[in-house]
Amino acid sequence: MPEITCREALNQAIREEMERDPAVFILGEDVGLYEGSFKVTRGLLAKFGDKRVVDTPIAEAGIVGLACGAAMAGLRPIAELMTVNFAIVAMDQIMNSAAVARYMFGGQCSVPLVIRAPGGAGHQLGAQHSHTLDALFMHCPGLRVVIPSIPADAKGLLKSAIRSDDPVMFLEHEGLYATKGEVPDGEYTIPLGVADVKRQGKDVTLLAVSRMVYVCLEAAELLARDGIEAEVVDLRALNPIDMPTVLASVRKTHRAVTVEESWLTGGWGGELVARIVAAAFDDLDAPVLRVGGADVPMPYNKALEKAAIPDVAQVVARVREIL
Amino acid sequence: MPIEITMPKLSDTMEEGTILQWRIKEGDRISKGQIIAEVETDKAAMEMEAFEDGLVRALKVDEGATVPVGTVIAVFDGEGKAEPVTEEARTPAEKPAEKSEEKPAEKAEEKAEEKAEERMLKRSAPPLEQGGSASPVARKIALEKGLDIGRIRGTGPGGRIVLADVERATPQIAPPPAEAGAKPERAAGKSVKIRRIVARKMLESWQNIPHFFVTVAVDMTDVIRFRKDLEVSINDFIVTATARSLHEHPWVNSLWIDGEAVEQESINIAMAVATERGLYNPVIHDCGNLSLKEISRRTRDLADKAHLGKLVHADLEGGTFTISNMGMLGVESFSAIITPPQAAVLAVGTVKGEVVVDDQGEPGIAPILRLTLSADHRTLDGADAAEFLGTLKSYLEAPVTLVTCNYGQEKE
Repeated sequence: MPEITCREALNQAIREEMERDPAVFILGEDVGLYEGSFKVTRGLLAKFGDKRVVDTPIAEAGIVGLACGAAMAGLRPIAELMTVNFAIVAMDQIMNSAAVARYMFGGQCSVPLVIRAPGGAGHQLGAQHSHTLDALFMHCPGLRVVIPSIPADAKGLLKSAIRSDDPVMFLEHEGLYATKGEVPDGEYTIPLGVADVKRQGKDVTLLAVSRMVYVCLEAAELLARDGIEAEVVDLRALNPIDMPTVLASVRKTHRAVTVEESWLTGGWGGELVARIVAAAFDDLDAPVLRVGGADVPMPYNKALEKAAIPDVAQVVARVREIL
Repeated sequence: MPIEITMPKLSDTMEEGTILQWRIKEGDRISKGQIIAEVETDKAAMEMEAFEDGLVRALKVDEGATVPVGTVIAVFDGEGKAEPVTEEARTPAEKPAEKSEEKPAEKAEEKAEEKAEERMLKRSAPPLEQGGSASPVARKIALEKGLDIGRIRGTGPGGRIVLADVERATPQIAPPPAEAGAKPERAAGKSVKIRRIVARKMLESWQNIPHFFVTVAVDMTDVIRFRKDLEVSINDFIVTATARSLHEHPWVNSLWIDGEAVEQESINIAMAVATERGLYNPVIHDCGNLSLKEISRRTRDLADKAHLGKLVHADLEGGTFTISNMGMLGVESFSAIITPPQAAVLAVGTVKGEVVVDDQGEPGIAPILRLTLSADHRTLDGADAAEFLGTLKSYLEAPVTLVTCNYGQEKE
């Protein structure tokens, strides 16, 4: 299998889906001529033309609103937001229209819309360009929330998201676009809501998405030197959450730590802890702990930014607390 | 010279015992043969005697605590050392409330007033309060394995008992004290401990013994008539008739030992007694040689003891056959599970008037009793069971044979 970057994997997925289904089109700021702020849409304008690769003004509510209407009318839009923070500008369109339309109209329409939004910190872009808002979207019923970590997942999950009849928040991490990995050529999909055990272990379950999967894998590597075998579960989606896989892992290891990049308070880790405790309390050998980002707006200062993001040392420390 | 008193092994299967009640206090002078404690084993609560004279120096185990066989539970000073216990000699286990200034009479009164319920409540105090906490999975597995989690040393954060500790603890500590913390014994309910013993035995039996069931109907007309004259119960007739029948069919009175059936010389009939605390099976020993009256007397004694929780080890040991009687509960017929390693168990239903057809083809009403023998097919074949029941039926239908039979010597 060829090794390609996440950026290329996403590009492949969009390209293949646009070839497969003429209803698929992409819109957003700089997706055409500039070929995407993160170069995900490279070559698409040339191939599909400006009717299917649409450059828009800086108007997120308009982008999502237009995409939502197009989806209700039968198209399959992929809306790219420059960063996930700007999704907040479009929150009314996301939560009040896309997420609820099918329900409100008694199933008479569906909203097969994908909103791709890069997020995450690490590039000194300041608070308004660096947040990870996974939990915000997870909180809203009706929205699928899909978060890949490796190139293969990026391709397989994006293709499934485009084919899904539900509105999907497809959250990408800016720090992972250049990450390389093996990706199957051609048709390759991964069902939404199926977690993936990225590393097997028997002593503790680390639950993560996106870039934190790598942090967990590194932590597991460190812990392994002391004979502690950590299992790393990549959730890959926060709605639906693959609780069977999570619970199976927790029942195997009897301990769990959630690792999320964004603010700990009100984060998805807390939700997961609640579900684990409710379903597998008697299988636990320790309280389920959380690792999360500092509850502050993301600092611009490089050292402070680094300190606000969870790292390997924090994960290892939390694991040691419960062993 | 100090004498260490250890938890005695009161039965073959006993691995640990619970001190239900101390009958002595530190500073008490003890004479040989005196009851010093009430101990609950895996089979029953029984009294423990002092083996020597002495002075109680220290009680090492609190009431309600469960310890493995061989654990030092008390220290006596042997005869010749009568000096009172000094403060320094006292151990932390001692309860300060029990001061030796109390007059013996007062103490006795207090003891008498202490109701069983209160004792139970005391015993259900969670043992974890001294140590750390235990994780949910550690509690669960300890409960499943029947371990006393209060006695396991925790190595987790803050001394928490974790799964690994329970797994390590498995070999040395064995079954469940009721007060394991996770599920305290209900004050007035059945004993969790007895329940677990029954559960273990019955599961083993049901899984390992190929049961088959044979039922006969017995005309009890004559038993009922005799019973009134002799002032014995229907059950007494059944036990006696069973003893006689076992005598004639010794194969039914055998035990399955090491892969073969071994006939037993003495006939020891265990009778299932359902009490408030749980199911007991006290044994009427050597009842092949006892008269109906004597069997009646012993049966009554054992049932009383079972209900009062006064059965001793000897009462529970050595059964070769079991009778389970649900007649008084109105059950018409049922099948019982064999107590290993016995070969069979007799399930006794109620006596109930039924329409029967006599030898001349005339219908009539007769009091009918249904007896179901559950037999171990490794030991007994269908024909063995049928013959045994045939004999039993013939005794009960002609109970005069049970009354006049000159078996052995009366013990009255």
